[in-house]
Amino acid sequence: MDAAGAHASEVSLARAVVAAVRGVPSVANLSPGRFAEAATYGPGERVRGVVIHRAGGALDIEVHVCALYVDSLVLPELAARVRIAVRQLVEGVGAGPLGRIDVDFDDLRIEEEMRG
Amino acid sequence: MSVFNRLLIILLALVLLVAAAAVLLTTLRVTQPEQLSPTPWFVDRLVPFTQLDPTLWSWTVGASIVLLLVGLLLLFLELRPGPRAAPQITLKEDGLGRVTVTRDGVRELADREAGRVAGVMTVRSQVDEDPTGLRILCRISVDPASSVPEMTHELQQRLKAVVEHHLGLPVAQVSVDAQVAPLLSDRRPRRRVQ
Repeated sequence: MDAAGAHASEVSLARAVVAAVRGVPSVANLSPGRFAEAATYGPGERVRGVVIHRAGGALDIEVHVCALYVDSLVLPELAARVRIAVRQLVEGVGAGPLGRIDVDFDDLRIEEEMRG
Repeated sequence: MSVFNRLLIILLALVLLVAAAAVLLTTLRVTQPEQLSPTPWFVDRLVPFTQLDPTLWSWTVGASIVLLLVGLLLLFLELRPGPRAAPQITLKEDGLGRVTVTRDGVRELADREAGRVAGVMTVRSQVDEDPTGLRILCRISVDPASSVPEMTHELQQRLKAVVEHHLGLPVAQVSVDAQVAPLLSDRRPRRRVQ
């Protein structure tokens, strides 16, 4: 696969990861990164909130999440659910062997803020 | 700003600095164009600055100095160390990856929970981490009608329980620095409970 094709596939995968992670309960949204932009870059576009690296053939994925703050929120459990969603997606689309999945909670969003 | 943009600006600033310095040195006749330039192309560009009339000479010197300063400013802005990234707290790290939360997020969580305790007017928390767990310092202003010892005890219990529940990390210490409201006019000594 040429560089442009690899970028395109990474961007498509990043978009799919965004959709999958948004579907996880207690995820308010993905975060563009708090200290530096966290995004996957492709030709003419970028997908914020997901960073995909290919290291030695394996995919390392970094997901930046705004969690929805509710009393039942347990961040390590939410991270586990996010990882499961990402893993299922990557295995489902056959994007290759999966390495690390890092989950960074960049923000905790409170329900009243969501309504406002 | 992306790394590419930053490199581009550094490169442009360097070009601006070299060009402005060369023009300034040539115009002031400090050096000859041949001494400054390794290529005939650049010498040809500098030679006209050796034959300027007095008005144009003044303008050229002034413009070169301004451009030199602009180049230095751009270089300084791009090369200075960025703001120190606010640290993150690692909740978990294993072969599957790393899970982190921003320290600001934990601070906001502590502020919110502390604000739920009856009698707490305003809150400002600080979160630190050491090998034994998290250390939370909670500065609060309190309602004068409330009992500070009871309130601080409840606050400590609540913060410890809530933060441990949400983060899954042990809280080693919750310190409460309470001041009776109103903060600005009240001169009573603060009571600190460990």
